[in-house]
Amino acid sequence: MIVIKVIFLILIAFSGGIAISTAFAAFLTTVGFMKVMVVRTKTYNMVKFYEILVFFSVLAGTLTMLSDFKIVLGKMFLCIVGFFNGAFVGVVAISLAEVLNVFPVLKKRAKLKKGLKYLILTVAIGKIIGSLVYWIVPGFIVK
Amino acid sequence: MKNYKVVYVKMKDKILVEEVKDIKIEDIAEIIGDEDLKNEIEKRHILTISSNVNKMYEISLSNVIKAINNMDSSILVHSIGEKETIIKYLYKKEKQNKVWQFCKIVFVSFIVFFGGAVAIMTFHTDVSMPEIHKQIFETFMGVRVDKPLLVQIPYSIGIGLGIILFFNSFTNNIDRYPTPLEIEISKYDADTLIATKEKIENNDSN
Repeated sequence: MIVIKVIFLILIAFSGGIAISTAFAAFLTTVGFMKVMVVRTKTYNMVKFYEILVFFSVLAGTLTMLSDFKIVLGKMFLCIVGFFNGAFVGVVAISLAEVLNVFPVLKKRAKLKKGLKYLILTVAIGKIIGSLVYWIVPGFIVK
Repeated sequence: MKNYKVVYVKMKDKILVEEVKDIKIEDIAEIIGDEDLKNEIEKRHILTISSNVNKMYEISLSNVIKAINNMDSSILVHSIGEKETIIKYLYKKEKQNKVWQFCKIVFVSFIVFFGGAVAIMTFHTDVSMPEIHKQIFETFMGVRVDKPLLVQIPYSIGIGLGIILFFNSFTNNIDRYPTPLEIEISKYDADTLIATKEKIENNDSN
């Protein structure tokens, strides 16, 4: 009896993992986060490598959350991780805006003809300032 | 009765020229037809580039047809393929800087790795996945455990397998359909071609 329960448990957890990660990978691809970076850096022949990298990154993230896995590598490494984490969030935010056609609609409605690149620059600066205020000024993080 | 000669013209969608200012028909299109006629048409000059900076040009099928008709007005021209060619003219050859390329790859790899890991961690926190795991374990085993390893280990294996299934990057190159990422990139390239043509036409009319 207990063997059947264990087998069921393993089956459910396994299929749950597959469902979650395919949904996650589909989200990453549709938002266009990896596509944008590959096109901007013109490294088309590394696509296979990036996909394998996503595999490792998802595995690393899951293992960190679910276990007591610790690698202590110092403050400098933490700064680097934070920087790239922020870069990822920024790329996803702008890709989402592109996918939802925020900028084209703004350009047509506000009849902007030339200032689009300055608009994007101001959005980036606003995001930096907003993020700093959110983390540093007390009271913004709601528990 | 006039004797029509038929040629088929297949224009390329985009070409790259470096430091060459004289464009012939053979650079921008493929001509199918009678051998002598084909050689004569291909050598005809169609565009002189008069710019000293990097610039994009667009040649449409009508220019090619006019050039062929100037040569011999009894030729019937059929078009197969694109109706315009985009010419990207580089004033100087682009240097392939390997170090810069490597730096870009490293940068993108770091973003993909750390970004993906943190994204899935935030996703799990959003949906309180540890709580769900403990609940599943309790449902089947009757006991509440702090670390339901029996659920977590198959779950982690499933996560890895799901990514491999989705991207399919571990199979041979030969029988591999384009992965979702490559499909997105080629869609983006097709859209870029359309947008580039529009941009060149707008610039010319300004």
